[in-house]
Amino acid sequence: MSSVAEKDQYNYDIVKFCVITGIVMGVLGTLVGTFVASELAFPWLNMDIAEISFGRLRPVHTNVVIFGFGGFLLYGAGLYMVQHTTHARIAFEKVAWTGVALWLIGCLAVVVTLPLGMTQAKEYHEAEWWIDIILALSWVCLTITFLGTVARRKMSHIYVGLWFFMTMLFMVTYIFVFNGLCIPVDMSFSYSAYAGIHDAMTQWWWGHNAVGFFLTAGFIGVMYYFVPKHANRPIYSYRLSVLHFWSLTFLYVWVGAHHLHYTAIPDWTLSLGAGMSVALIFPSWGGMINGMMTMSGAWDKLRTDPVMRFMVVALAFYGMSTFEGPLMGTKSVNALSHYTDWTVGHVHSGALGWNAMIAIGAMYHMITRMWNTEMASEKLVNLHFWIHLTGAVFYITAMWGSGVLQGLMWRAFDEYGNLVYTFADSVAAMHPFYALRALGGFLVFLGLSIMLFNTIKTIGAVKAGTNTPLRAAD
Amino acid sequence: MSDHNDQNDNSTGHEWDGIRELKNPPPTWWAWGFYIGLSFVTAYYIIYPSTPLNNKIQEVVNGVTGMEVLVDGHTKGIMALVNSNPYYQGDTWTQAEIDALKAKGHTELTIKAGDLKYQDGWTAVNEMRDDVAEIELIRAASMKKLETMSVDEIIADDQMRQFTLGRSKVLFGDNCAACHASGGQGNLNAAHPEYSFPNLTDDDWLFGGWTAKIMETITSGREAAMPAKGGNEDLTDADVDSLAKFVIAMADGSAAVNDDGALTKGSFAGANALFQETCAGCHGANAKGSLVNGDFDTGAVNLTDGIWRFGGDMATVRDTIANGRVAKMPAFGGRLDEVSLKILTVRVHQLGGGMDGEPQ
Ligand code: HEC
Ligand code: HEC
Ligand code: HEM
Ligand SMILES: [Fe+2]
Repeated sequence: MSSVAEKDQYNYDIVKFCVITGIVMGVLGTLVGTFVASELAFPWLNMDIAEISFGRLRPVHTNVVIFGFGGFLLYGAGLYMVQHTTHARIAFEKVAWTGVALWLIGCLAVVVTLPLGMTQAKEYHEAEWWIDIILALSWVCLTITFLGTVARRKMSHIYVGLWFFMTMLFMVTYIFVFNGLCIPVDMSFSYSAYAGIHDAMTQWWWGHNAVGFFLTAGFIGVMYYFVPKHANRPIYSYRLSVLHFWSLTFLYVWVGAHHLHYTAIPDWTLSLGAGMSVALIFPSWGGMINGMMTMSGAWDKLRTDPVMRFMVVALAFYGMSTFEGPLMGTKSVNALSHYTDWTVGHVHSGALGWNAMIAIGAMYHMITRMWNTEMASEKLVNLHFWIHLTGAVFYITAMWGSGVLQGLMWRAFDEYGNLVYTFADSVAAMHPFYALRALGGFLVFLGLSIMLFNTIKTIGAVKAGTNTPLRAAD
Repeated sequence: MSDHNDQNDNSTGHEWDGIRELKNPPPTWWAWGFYIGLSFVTAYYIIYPSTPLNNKIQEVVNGVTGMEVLVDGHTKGIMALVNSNPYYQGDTWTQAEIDALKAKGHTELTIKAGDLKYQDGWTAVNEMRDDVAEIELIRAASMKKLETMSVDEIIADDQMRQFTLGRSKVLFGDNCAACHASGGQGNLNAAHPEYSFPNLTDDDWLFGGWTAKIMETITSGREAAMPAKGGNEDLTDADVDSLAKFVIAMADGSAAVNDDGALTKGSFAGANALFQETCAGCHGANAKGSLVNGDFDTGAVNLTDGIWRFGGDMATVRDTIANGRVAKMPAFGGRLDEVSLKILTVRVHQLGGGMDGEPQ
């Protein structure tokens, strides 16, 4: 095998590291998620210990799943697909490894500091300033490697998946750095550079675009490689790629204000957020349609191939959550949904349905290609699919139910114009939904644990070296 | 590769890792949706406040020069033209504000109390005020009556009583239920007796179940204190034990004392002697508590009725006597307005144990 010089092979070592770390992070993150969900259903689980209380552990869960699981998937799949779609080995390998190491250090630092109560109290940006610096440096390393590799490509055109990925690299740096600006006091405390309403607006400019670029553009990029590759079909429409790429990139950045409806920010900002949210439906759906139509001629694979099923169901969830999101972005729907579990349901139809399922599909695809083997148990992959899907559906329907119920209870009046329910009444009414949600979360955790087990068995069974020469220019 | 063989003519000719792209146009329904979405935004921005313009300091407001108002500069949208707030009609000047301006030297003022301050049509805040105004309108008549009616009058008037009870549920839930439980049944906390809160639904009162006393409790709060060993340092552990047994016996009916403090049932002569010396000052010679004995403020518990404030097992009673208890009912006088206090008094009185007439 090693007849090919290293520079003429794909660098799979770094991808393998990221994929395995990503699966481990997924298992850990969903375990913590299941625990915090159980704390809401059964509050005694807080056990009066500050470090494991819901408020401290919730951001551990969100950070580990988004930046640990999602992040390592993006690092791994990004470095995999950039090599495959440029037919070149990655550039600046030391920089790439530095980036991966820093990302891991950053993630671990988050896991340690948040339970201790060190937080900037900005959602999805809780980590203190020095961890921000580690993560930002890592991101810059990834960007350098990525762009360097694109520059080495053996063809003139840049693949659509890479456009989305590069947009993500640029935008996430931009929003992450600006939202993170602060005056450090010590290792555990800093003052935000913004105050009041500016702080809120900057925070949700970040919060929304972390969704828009990290969880959407990046993952759409991943989708654009793995779906056609796995289905072995051509991309359905080049023109649709161009249209929805530019419209998505342009529209996403305006809508952060839909997280702040009916708060103290100016009315014109709210209209901007609401209007642009609605306009986002079709640009978002462009990605789903291009993915789905790419499947034409390969639909039979759904019956036999659970990995393909992960990817296609992910696209369906993507379509659903990008329809629901714009709806919630309008003022009148948001007046009902805001502050309720409906938001949490929406988040998880995106996170468990779209992000996790496309990530899992891409991971299975890469594992079999990189180790040049089949999964140790195809049955377990199939089982993983059904368990994950059931868990996600339990989770999402429970939160829709509780969210709408909350919204309605909070605004119910009797015939005299008096509120019918106290806040505590609505909390009590949430219990069955919270228990069901915890069960859903547990199933997702179980599925990822099965995946980890299956992966370890698969890798353990591979004996031969797995050097893969670069694809010859077509 | 297999995908080289089909639809070759329809491909852009690019290829990456074997992936090609086709030249299909986007589906027509998608294109329609895309353009409708863009038209929607345009229409939305015409209807609602949208485009930011310069913010400026405006110096003349309703003919008043020198009053500085920051005008939020943005297009107001055509919703500003139609009055979209049927209930909320905008802020109006009050006489006090006008007087204050005149005192500042704005003697040229022509505005009258009740004049609109400004009218910006649809804004998120106006929409909220409009919703609130709509609900307030429904209860306005009854709320107005509550201002002048006394608690006893409210209870006597069937319709007003119903309204008040409806109105009180959330008020009680948000302010009182954390301690007294949502139904007012209180909480006897066996693990942490110090976190026990009295039941408000029975007729066993600490400070009195007459409306006047309930109002006083809620408005000013209460702080009953049972001193350790009843304040008598000389009590030994054995004394505390025998007192505890005596108190439990009185509660379950196997011991009793009359109004003069004489033991009428059970063999607790020694304990009763201790009780009359140390405890009767607060709990009364008959052990029926301070209230029954005409003292409205001490809140010393009736020890003969079998209803426990902190718990009636040996360990808890011993602990109560040996180490004392302090409990605090917070004052809501400064926190809630007059009408809310009346509403809550009605609720507590109507929970089941309300006493009629004047305190006696
Ligand atoms: C922080 C806990 C707490 C809250 C909140 C609270 N209470 Fe109390 N309440 C108490 C305690 C403790 C007592 C007993 C006082 C004592 O023993 O000194 C008490 C006593 C009372 C009593 C006297 C009962 C009697 O037997 O005489 C009334 C009436 C009462 N509360 C009504 C209310 C109402 C109405 C509210 C809501 C506006 C309320 N309480 C909120 C703790 C609370
Ligand atoms: C200074 C007045 C005072 C004296 C003296 C006093 N008590 Fe009390 N006692 C109270 C008050 C007030 C309470 C209610 C405490 C509270 O609600 O915070 C109480 C509560 C109790 C309780 C709790 C009853 C229950 O339902 O849980 C017991 C038992 C008790 N006293 C026994 C005694 C005994 C025995 C003595 C004599 C050794 C004694 N007290 C002396 C004021 C007094
Ligand atoms: C066009 C697409 C989308 C739009 C317009 C949109 C819109 C919204 C809206 C209106 C909210 C609720 C804000 C609130 O009331 O607090 C929200 C919350 C959220 N959405 Fe989306 N959404 C979209 C797609 C997605 C996708 C694909 C994901 C992927 C996971 C996602 C993740 C989230 C998250 C994490 C939150 C929660 C924010 C919080 O913590 O409060 N969204 N979104
Ligand atoms: Fe958003």
